[in-house]
Amino acid sequence: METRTDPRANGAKPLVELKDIRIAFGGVQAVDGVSLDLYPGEVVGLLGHNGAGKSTLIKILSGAYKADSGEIRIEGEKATINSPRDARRYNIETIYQTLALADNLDAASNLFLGREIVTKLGFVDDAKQEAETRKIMARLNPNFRKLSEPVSALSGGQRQSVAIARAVYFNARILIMDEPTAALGVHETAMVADLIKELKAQGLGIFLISHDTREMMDLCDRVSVMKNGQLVGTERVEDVTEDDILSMIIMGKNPKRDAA
Amino acid sequence: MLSLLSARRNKVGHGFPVKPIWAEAVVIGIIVAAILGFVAILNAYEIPSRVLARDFAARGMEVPEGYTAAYGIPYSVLLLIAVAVVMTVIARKTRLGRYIFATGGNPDAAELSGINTRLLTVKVFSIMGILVGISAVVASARLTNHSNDIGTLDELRVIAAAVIGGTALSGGIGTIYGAILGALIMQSLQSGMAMVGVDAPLQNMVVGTVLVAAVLIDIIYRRRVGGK
Ligand SMILES: Nc1ncnc2c1ncn2[C@@H]1O[C@H](COP(=O)(O)OP(=O)(O)OP(=O)(O)O)[C@@H](O)[C@H]1O
Ligand SMILES: [Mg+2]
Repeated sequence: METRTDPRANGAKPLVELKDIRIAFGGVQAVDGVSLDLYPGEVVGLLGHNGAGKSTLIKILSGAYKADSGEIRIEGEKATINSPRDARRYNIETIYQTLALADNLDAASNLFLGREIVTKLGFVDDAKQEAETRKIMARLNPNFRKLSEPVSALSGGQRQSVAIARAVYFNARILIMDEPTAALGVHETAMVADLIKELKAQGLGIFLISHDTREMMDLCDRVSVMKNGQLVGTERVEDVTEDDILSMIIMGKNPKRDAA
Repeated sequence: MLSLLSARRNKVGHGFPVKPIWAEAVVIGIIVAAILGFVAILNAYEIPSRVLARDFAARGMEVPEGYTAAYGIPYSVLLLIAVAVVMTVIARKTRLGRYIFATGGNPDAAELSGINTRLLTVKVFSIMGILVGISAVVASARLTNHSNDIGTLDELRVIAAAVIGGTALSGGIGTIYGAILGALIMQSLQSGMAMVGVDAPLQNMVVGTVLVAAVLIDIIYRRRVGGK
């Protein structure tokens, strides 16, 4: 097992701080006063039952929703993120649970959507985009060949690979992955896990959402558990067992902590 | 043709498989022949000598011995070709076109990809405004003068033309040349009905029926092929 160094120990500044974030949809308080932070080179896992508010919380960071109240700080500075464009400006890349792909476009067009490679004349350079897509896909899903077909013709896992490729291609500093491996095969999942470790070593901060507690124990430095929109707690993975995490998810409390 | 060649060079540059040179040459040959043939056919229609005589007389001149003139390609056709080429380039090769297709396919995804979909909608409507302006100029030029209700209900025929040409009403799919072919079909239908003497109200009903049928087939077909 690799040794985990706590990034907070050496006095590093947090990359992202979410403070007391709240958002309601009609009567549903989807996120209710959640505070989280993320350091460079760290993977923070987000766990919780279906509808706990995990996706909603990270969508606030990625600019898809605007928080009703609360504060986002990036590298210590207050950040205003009102749209996905703003989030991209802070080098925040997101893999959405819904993948957010334009089904009628091919993989390359989706990968570069909003950030096309253009020729000197200002036209989209399809050939270059396709070549770059080929390169990145070779690292994620080597069996991927259907580059020029609309993504509606791809399998669930292939579509997910396209979404992952899009998030990691553009030198993100903060990466949000909402159940990135939900549709992936064993081999592809392992490749994504390797990729996460590699990106982490490069100093990215990663928010990872998954329902697979074992995978989370393996990949994350810290895990945060949400329940009904509220944060149950954040633990370093060395300090807890899988059972502790499970009871945090299901019962909403950490037995060890309560015992102490 | 130039674009075909440059596309080829680009592909070779990135190490993609390309068609053999002779195949590319045949394609270019066919395109050239088609263009020349089109011009030749339109030039083959000669203006009748009486009409020429009248024109010259209007300018106070005699018709020179053995003088003939061809109708040639009408300006409106040239304009159509120019607009089609420009719009195809915009749709296929520019970021704007890519964004329009992406937004048509999945507006949420487009927004999450950092596309300002609201501004984009405004842009699409202004492009449409420009094109409608051009078509209005052509339409009124053909009729010399007309009251301001010219083109009433043309939007229905335009929608029918686009759908017949393969544009998905749900968005994100379609081509410019498809829409032009669709327009040709709609216009053939209309002119044909006028020639065989179908009453004007009946013509509108037929156009409406075609529109409904086209939309229906569009929906059924896309469900079959597994689109949305
Ligand atoms: N756009 C929306 N409009 C209304 N309610 C919403 C919307 N998005 C989320 N919600 C509600 O907010 C709550 C949290 O949803 P969220 O998608 O964040 O859950 P989640 O933790 O990601 O669950 P899962 O594990 O199933 O992905 C749910 O009760 C959901 O019904
Ligand atoms: Mg979710």
